[in-house]
Amino acid sequence: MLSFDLLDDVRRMNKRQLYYQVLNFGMIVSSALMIWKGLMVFTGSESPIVVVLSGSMEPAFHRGDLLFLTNYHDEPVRVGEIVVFKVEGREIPIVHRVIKIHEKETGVVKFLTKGDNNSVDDRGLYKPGQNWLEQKDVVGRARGFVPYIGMVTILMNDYPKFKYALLACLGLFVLIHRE
Amino acid sequence: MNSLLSRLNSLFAFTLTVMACLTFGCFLSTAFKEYGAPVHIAIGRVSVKNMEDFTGPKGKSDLGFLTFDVRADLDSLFNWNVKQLFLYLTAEYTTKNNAINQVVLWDKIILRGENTTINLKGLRPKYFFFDDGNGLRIMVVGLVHESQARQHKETVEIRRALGGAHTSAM
Repeated sequence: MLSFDLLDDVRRMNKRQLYYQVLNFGMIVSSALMIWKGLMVFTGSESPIVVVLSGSMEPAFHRGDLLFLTNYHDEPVRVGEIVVFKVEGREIPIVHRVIKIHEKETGVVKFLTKGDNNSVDDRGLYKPGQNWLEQKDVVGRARGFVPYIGMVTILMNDYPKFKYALLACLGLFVLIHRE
Repeated sequence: MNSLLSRLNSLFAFTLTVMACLTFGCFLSTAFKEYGAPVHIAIGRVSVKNMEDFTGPKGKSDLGFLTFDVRADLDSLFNWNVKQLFLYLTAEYTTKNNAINQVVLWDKIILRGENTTINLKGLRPKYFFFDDGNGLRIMVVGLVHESQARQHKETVEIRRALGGAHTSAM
Protein backbone atom coordinates (compact mmCIF):
# COMPACT_ATOMS: atom_id res chain seq x y z
CA MET A 1 0.00 0.00 0.00
CA LEU A 2 1.28 3.47 -0.88
CA SER A 3 1.91 5.68 2.12
CA PHE A 4 1.95 9.48 1.92
CA ASP A 5 2.85 9.96 5.56
CA LEU A 6 6.35 11.42 5.19
CA LEU A 7 6.91 11.75 8.93
CA ASP A 8 6.10 8.07 9.32
CA ASP A 9 8.79 7.27 6.75
CA VAL A 10 11.37 9.28 8.68
CA ARG A 11 10.27 7.67 11.97
CA ARG A 12 10.79 4.18 10.54
CA MET A 13 14.39 4.94 9.55
CA ASN A 14 17.15 3.81 11.85
CA LYS A 15 20.15 6.05 12.58
CA ARG A 16 22.34 4.44 9.93
CA GLN A 17 19.74 5.02 7.22
CA LEU A 18 19.29 8.63 8.28
CA TYR A 19 23.05 9.26 8.20
CA TYR A 20 23.18 7.62 4.78
CA GLN A 21 20.45 9.91 3.45
CA VAL A 22 22.16 13.01 4.86
CA LEU A 23 25.43 11.87 3.26
CA ASN A 24 23.56 11.26 0.00
CA PHE A 25 22.18 14.79 0.13
CA GLY A 26 25.67 16.16 0.76
CA MET A 27 26.99 14.19 -2.22
CA ILE A 28 24.33 15.69 -4.50
CA VAL A 29 25.15 19.25 -3.38
CA SER A 30 28.93 18.75 -3.66
CA SER A 31 28.58 17.05 -7.07
CA ALA A 32 26.58 20.01 -8.37
CA LEU A 33 29.25 22.40 -7.07
CA MET A 34 32.04 20.34 -8.63
CA ILE A 35 30.27 20.24 -11.99
CA TRP A 36 29.78 24.02 -11.84
CA LYS A 37 33.42 24.68 -10.96
CA GLY A 38 34.53 22.22 -13.63
CA LEU A 39 32.46 24.07 -16.22
CA MET A 40 34.06 27.34 -15.09
CA VAL A 41 37.53 25.91 -15.72
CA PHE A 42 36.54 24.28 -19.03
CA THR A 43 34.77 27.35 -20.48
CA GLY A 44 37.01 30.03 -18.96
CA SER A 45 33.90 31.93 -17.86
CA GLU A 46 32.87 32.83 -14.32
CA SER A 47 29.25 32.11 -15.33
CA PRO A 48 29.21 29.30 -17.92
CA ILE A 49 25.40 29.12 -17.89
CA VAL A 50 23.18 32.20 -17.63
CA VAL A 51 19.47 32.93 -17.92
CA VAL A 52 18.14 35.72 -20.14
CA LEU A 53 16.12 38.07 -17.94
CA SER A 54 14.84 40.64 -20.45
CA GLY A 55 13.44 40.84 -23.96
CA SER A 56 16.18 43.11 -25.34
CA MET A 57 17.56 40.35 -27.59
CA GLU A 58 14.25 39.13 -29.02
CA PRO A 59 13.60 37.36 -31.33
CA ALA A 60 17.03 35.68 -30.95
CA PHE A 61 16.70 35.09 -27.21
CA HIS A 62 13.55 35.36 -25.13
CA ARG A 63 13.10 35.88 -21.41
CA GLY A 64 13.87 32.60 -19.67
CA ASP A 65 16.23 31.16 -22.30
CA LEU A 66 19.30 29.38 -20.96
CA LEU A 67 22.61 30.46 -22.54
CA PHE A 68 25.86 28.50 -22.65
CA LEU A 69 28.94 30.72 -22.54
CA THR A 70 32.67 30.43 -23.16
CA ASN A 71 35.31 33.08 -22.55
CA TYR A 72 38.59 32.09 -24.17
CA HIS A 73 40.89 35.12 -24.09
CA ASP A 74 42.89 34.07 -27.15
CA GLU A 75 39.77 34.52 -29.31
CA PRO A 76 39.32 38.24 -30.06
CA VAL A 77 35.90 39.89 -29.81
CA ARG A 78 34.40 40.56 -33.23
CA VAL A 79 31.37 42.37 -34.61
CA GLY A 80 28.20 40.27 -34.68
CA GLU A 81 29.10 38.15 -31.67
CA ILE A 82 26.70 37.97 -28.75
CA VAL A 83 28.55 38.77 -25.52
CA VAL A 84 27.57 38.74 -21.88
CA PHE A 85 29.16 41.67 -20.06
CA LYS A 86 29.17 43.19 -16.62
CA VAL A 87 29.02 46.93 -16.04
CA GLU A 88 30.33 48.60 -12.88
CA GLY A 89 27.45 49.49 -10.58
CA ARG A 90 25.14 46.83 -12.04
CA GLU A 91 24.68 43.47 -10.36
CA ILE A 92 23.17 41.58 -13.28
CA PRO A 93 25.20 40.92 -16.47
CA ILE A 94 23.76 41.99 -19.85
CA VAL A 95 23.49 39.85 -23.00
CA HIS A 96 23.85 41.97 -26.17
CA ARG A 97 25.43 41.93 -29.63
CA VAL A 98 28.70 43.67 -30.60
CA ILE A 99 28.10 46.33 -33.26
CA LYS A 100 31.44 48.16 -33.34
CA ILE A 101 35.06 47.32 -32.50
CA HIS A 102 38.40 49.13 -32.62
CA GLU A 103 41.52 47.07 -32.02
CA LYS A 104 45.01 48.48 -31.53
CA GLU A 105 48.22 46.89 -32.84
CA THR A 106 48.88 45.73 -29.27
CA GLY A 107 45.67 43.70 -29.28
CA VAL A 108 43.77 46.01 -26.92
CA VAL A 109 40.13 46.04 -28.03
CA LYS A 110 37.34 48.48 -27.28
CA PHE A 111 33.84 47.70 -28.47
CA LEU A 112 30.23 48.83 -28.41
CA THR A 113 27.13 46.67 -27.94
CA LYS A 114 23.41 46.87 -28.67
CA GLY A 115 20.37 44.69 -28.03
CA ASP A 116 18.74 43.39 -31.22
CA ASN A 117 15.35 44.55 -29.92
CA ASN A 118 16.62 47.97 -28.73
CA SER A 119 16.55 51.06 -30.91
CA VAL A 120 19.78 52.55 -29.51
CA ASP A 121 23.21 51.26 -28.49
CA ASP A 122 24.22 50.47 -24.90
CA ARG A 123 26.11 53.64 -24.01
CA GLY A 124 23.21 54.60 -21.75
CA LEU A 125 23.66 51.34 -19.83
CA TYR A 126 27.40 51.69 -19.26
CA LYS A 127 28.69 53.57 -16.23
CA PRO A 128 28.68 57.40 -16.57
CA GLY A 129 31.51 58.56 -18.82
CA GLN A 130 32.12 55.08 -20.23
CA ASN A 131 31.78 54.92 -24.02
CA TRP A 132 33.28 51.50 -24.73
CA LEU A 133 33.55 48.04 -23.24
CA GLU A 134 36.86 46.21 -22.92
CA GLN A 135 37.87 42.55 -22.69
CA LYS A 136 37.85 42.71 -18.88
CA ASP A 137 34.11 43.53 -18.91
CA VAL A 138 33.22 40.34 -20.79
CA VAL A 139 31.78 37.45 -18.77
CA GLY A 140 31.44 35.20 -21.80
CA ARG A 141 30.25 34.72 -25.36
CA ALA A 142 27.05 32.90 -26.26
CA ARG A 143 27.74 29.52 -27.89
CA GLY A 144 24.31 27.92 -27.64
CA PHE A 145 21.00 28.12 -25.87
CA VAL A 146 18.03 26.11 -24.67
CA PRO A 147 14.70 27.95 -24.93
CA TYR A 148 12.63 28.76 -21.83
CA ILE A 149 14.40 26.29 -19.48
CA GLY A 150 15.47 29.17 -17.24
CA MET A 151 11.89 30.24 -16.49
CA VAL A 152 12.16 28.37 -13.17
CA THR A 153 15.07 30.66 -12.21
CA ILE A 154 13.03 33.75 -13.07
CA LEU A 155 10.11 32.45 -11.00
CA MET A 156 12.46 31.83 -8.07
CA ASN A 157 13.88 35.37 -8.37
CA ASP A 158 10.43 36.96 -8.61
CA TYR A 159 8.86 34.84 -5.86
CA PRO A 160 11.41 33.97 -3.12
CA LYS A 161 8.80 31.91 -1.22
CA PHE A 162 8.50 29.62 -4.23
CA LYS A 163 12.28 29.13 -4.17
CA TYR A 164 12.36 28.15 -0.49
CA ALA A 165 9.35 25.85 -0.88
CA LEU A 166 10.98 24.08 -3.84
CA LEU A 167 14.30 23.66 -2.00
CA ALA A 168 12.50 22.35 1.09
CA CYS A 169 10.58 19.81 -0.99
CA LEU A 170 13.75 18.63 -2.74
CA GLY A 171 15.65 18.34 0.54
CA LEU A 172 12.82 16.42 2.16
CA PHE A 173 12.50 14.11 -0.85
CA VAL A 174 16.22 13.26 -0.75
CA LEU A 175 16.08 12.60 2.98
CA ILE A 176 13.02 10.32 2.97
CA HIS A 177 13.59 8.66 -0.41
CA ARG A 178 14.68 5.04 0.00
CA GLU A 179 15.62 2.53 -2.68
CA MET B 1 7.74 -2.47 -4.04
CA ASN B 2 8.50 1.02 -5.36
CA SER B 3 6.65 3.98 -3.92
CA LEU B 4 4.65 6.43 -6.02
CA LEU B 5 7.39 9.05 -5.66
CA SER B 6 10.02 6.60 -6.93
CA ARG B 7 7.93 5.73 -9.95
CA LEU B 8 7.23 9.36 -10.76
CA ASN B 9 10.93 10.16 -10.37
CA SER B 10 11.93 7.33 -12.74
CA LEU B 11 9.32 8.35 -15.30
CA PHE B 12 10.41 12.00 -15.17
CA ALA B 13 14.11 11.10 -15.48
CA PHE B 14 13.43 8.77 -18.43
CA THR B 15 11.29 11.41 -20.19
CA LEU B 16 14.03 14.02 -19.76
CA THR B 17 16.67 11.62 -21.10
CA VAL B 18 14.62 10.77 -24.20
CA MET B 19 13.89 14.46 -24.85
CA ALA B 20 17.57 15.38 -24.43
CA CYS B 21 18.60 12.66 -26.90
CA LEU B 22 15.98 13.80 -29.43
CA THR B 23 17.10 17.42 -29.07
CA PHE B 24 20.73 16.45 -29.59
CA GLY B 25 19.71 14.40 -32.63
CA CYS B 26 17.92 17.44 -34.07
CA PHE B 27 21.05 19.52 -33.50
CA LEU B 28 23.30 16.92 -35.16
CA SER B 29 21.05 16.76 -38.23
CA THR B 30 22.23 20.23 -39.33
CA ALA B 31 25.44 20.70 -37.33
CA PHE B 32 27.76 19.90 -40.23
CA LYS B 33 25.81 21.71 -42.94
CA GLU B 34 27.74 24.32 -44.90
CA TYR B 35 25.95 27.67 -44.70
CA GLY B 36 26.40 30.14 -47.53
CA ALA B 37 24.42 32.14 -50.05
CA PRO B 38 25.42 34.36 -52.98
CA VAL B 39 25.13 38.04 -52.11
CA HIS B 40 25.56 41.02 -54.41
CA ILE B 41 26.50 44.40 -52.94
CA ALA B 42 27.00 47.62 -54.86
CA ILE B 43 28.34 50.75 -53.18
CA GLY B 44 26.92 54.08 -54.33
CA ARG B 45 27.90 57.59 -53.26
CA VAL B 46 30.67 57.80 -50.65
CA SER B 47 31.64 60.91 -48.68
CA VAL B 48 33.27 61.79 -45.37
CA LYS B 49 32.77 64.71 -42.98
CA ASN B 50 34.90 65.56 -39.98
CA MET B 51 32.51 66.54 -37.20
CA GLU B 52 31.67 66.33 -33.50
CA ASP B 53 30.94 62.74 -32.47
CA PHE B 54 27.50 63.16 -30.92
CA THR B 55 27.07 59.42 -30.23
CA GLY B 56 29.25 59.46 -27.13
CA PRO B 57 33.00 60.09 -27.31
CA LYS B 58 34.03 63.73 -27.08
CA GLY B 59 35.99 65.38 -29.87
CA LYS B 60 35.85 65.42 -33.64
CA SER B 61 35.76 62.23 -35.67
CA ASP B 62 35.27 61.25 -39.29
CA LEU B 63 31.68 60.40 -40.19
CA GLY B 64 31.18 58.32 -43.31
CA PHE B 65 28.17 58.68 -45.61
CA LEU B 66 27.40 56.11 -48.28
CA THR B 67 24.58 54.39 -50.11
CA PHE B 68 24.49 50.75 -51.15
CA ASP B 69 22.36 48.14 -52.89
CA VAL B 70 21.96 44.63 -51.51
CA ARG B 71 20.61 41.68 -53.45
CA ALA B 72 20.44 38.12 -52.06
CA ASP B 73 18.35 34.97 -51.83
CA LEU B 74 18.81 33.42 -48.40
CA ASP B 75 16.30 30.58 -48.69
CA SER B 76 19.05 27.92 -48.65
CA LEU B 77 20.18 29.07 -45.19
CA PHE B 78 16.93 28.08 -43.50
CA ASN B 79 16.21 24.65 -42.05
CA TRP B 80 14.31 23.28 -39.06
CA ASN B 81 17.09 24.36 -36.69
CA VAL B 82 17.24 27.96 -37.94
CA LYS B 83 14.55 30.15 -36.47
CA GLN B 84 16.06 33.44 -37.58
CA LEU B 85 18.87 35.02 -39.56
CA PHE B 86 20.56 38.12 -38.25
CA LEU B 87 22.07 39.84 -41.27
CA TYR B 88 24.55 42.63 -40.84
CA LEU B 89 26.67 44.65 -43.21
CA THR B 90 30.05 45.57 -41.75
CA ALA B 91 32.68 48.07 -42.81
CA GLU B 92 36.09 46.65 -41.94
CA TYR B 93 39.17 48.80 -42.40
CA THR B 94 42.58 49.70 -41.01
CA THR B 95 43.73 53.13 -39.81
CA LYS B 96 46.83 54.63 -38.20
CA ASN B 97 45.16 54.41 -34.79
CA ASN B 98 43.79 50.88 -35.06
CA ALA B 99 44.88 47.63 -36.68
CA ILE B 100 41.26 46.50 -37.03
CA ASN B 101 38.09 48.57 -37.19
CA GLN B 102 34.70 46.91 -37.63
CA VAL B 103 31.53 48.98 -37.80
CA VAL B 104 28.04 47.62 -38.45
CA LEU B 105 26.38 49.90 -40.99
CA TRP B 106 23.09 48.06 -41.44
CA ASP B 107 21.33 45.01 -40.06
CA LYS B 108 18.12 43.08 -40.53
CA ILE B 109 16.40 40.15 -38.85
CA ILE B 110 14.67 37.58 -41.04
CA LEU B 111 12.47 35.08 -39.21
CA ARG B 112 11.63 31.62 -40.51
CA GLY B 113 8.63 31.84 -42.82
CA GLU B 114 9.30 35.43 -43.84
CA ASN B 115 10.40 36.51 -47.31
CA THR B 116 14.01 35.37 -47.72
CA THR B 117 14.70 37.38 -50.88
CA ILE B 118 16.44 40.71 -50.35
CA ASN B 119 16.46 43.33 -53.07
CA LEU B 120 17.18 46.73 -51.55
CA LYS B 121 18.37 49.77 -53.46
CA GLY B 122 19.84 53.09 -52.35
CA LEU B 123 20.07 52.04 -48.71
CA ARG B 124 21.67 54.38 -46.20
CA PRO B 125 23.47 53.11 -43.09
CA LYS B 126 21.16 52.32 -40.20
CA TYR B 127 23.89 53.31 -37.71
CA PHE B 128 26.24 56.30 -37.76
CA PHE B 129 29.51 55.40 -39.46
CA PHE B 130 31.81 57.24 -37.05
CA ASP B 131 35.49 56.39 -37.07
CA ASP B 132 37.57 56.20 -33.91
CA GLY B 133 39.45 59.37 -34.83
CA ASN B 134 40.26 60.87 -38.23
CA GLY B 135 41.43 57.90 -40.27
CA LEU B 136 38.32 57.35 -42.34
CA ARG B 137 38.92 60.09 -44.92
CA ILE B 138 42.16 58.51 -46.14
CA MET B 139 40.58 55.07 -45.98
CA VAL B 140 37.52 55.94 -48.08
CA VAL B 141 39.64 57.66 -50.75
CA GLY B 142 41.76 54.52 -50.87
CA LEU B 143 38.66 52.32 -51.12
CA VAL B 144 37.15 54.30 -54.00
CA HIS B 145 40.46 54.18 -55.86
CA GLU B 146 40.74 50.42 -55.25
CA SER B 147 37.23 49.77 -56.51
CA GLN B 148 37.91 51.68 -59.74
CA ALA B 149 41.15 49.83 -60.38
CA ARG B 150 40.03 46.34 -59.35
CA GLN B 151 36.27 46.33 -59.38
CA HIS B 152 35.85 42.57 -59.80
CA LYS B 153 38.20 41.75 -56.92
CA GLU B 154 36.35 44.22 -54.69
CA THR B 155 32.97 42.59 -55.40
CA VAL B 156 34.34 39.11 -54.69
CA GLU B 157 35.84 40.25 -51.38
CA ILE B 158 32.63 41.94 -50.26
CA ARG B 159 30.60 38.89 -51.24
CA ARG B 160 32.89 36.59 -49.30
CA ALA B 161 32.78 38.88 -46.29
CA LEU B 162 29.00 38.88 -46.20
CA GLY B 163 28.76 35.14 -46.83
CA GLY B 164 29.51 34.53 -43.17
CA ALA B 165 27.76 37.61 -41.92
CA HIS B 166 24.75 35.97 -40.37
CA THR B 167 24.03 34.11 -37.19
CA SER B 168 21.56 31.31 -36.96
CA ALA B 169 20.05 30.35 -33.66
CA MET B 170 18.43 26.99 -33.06
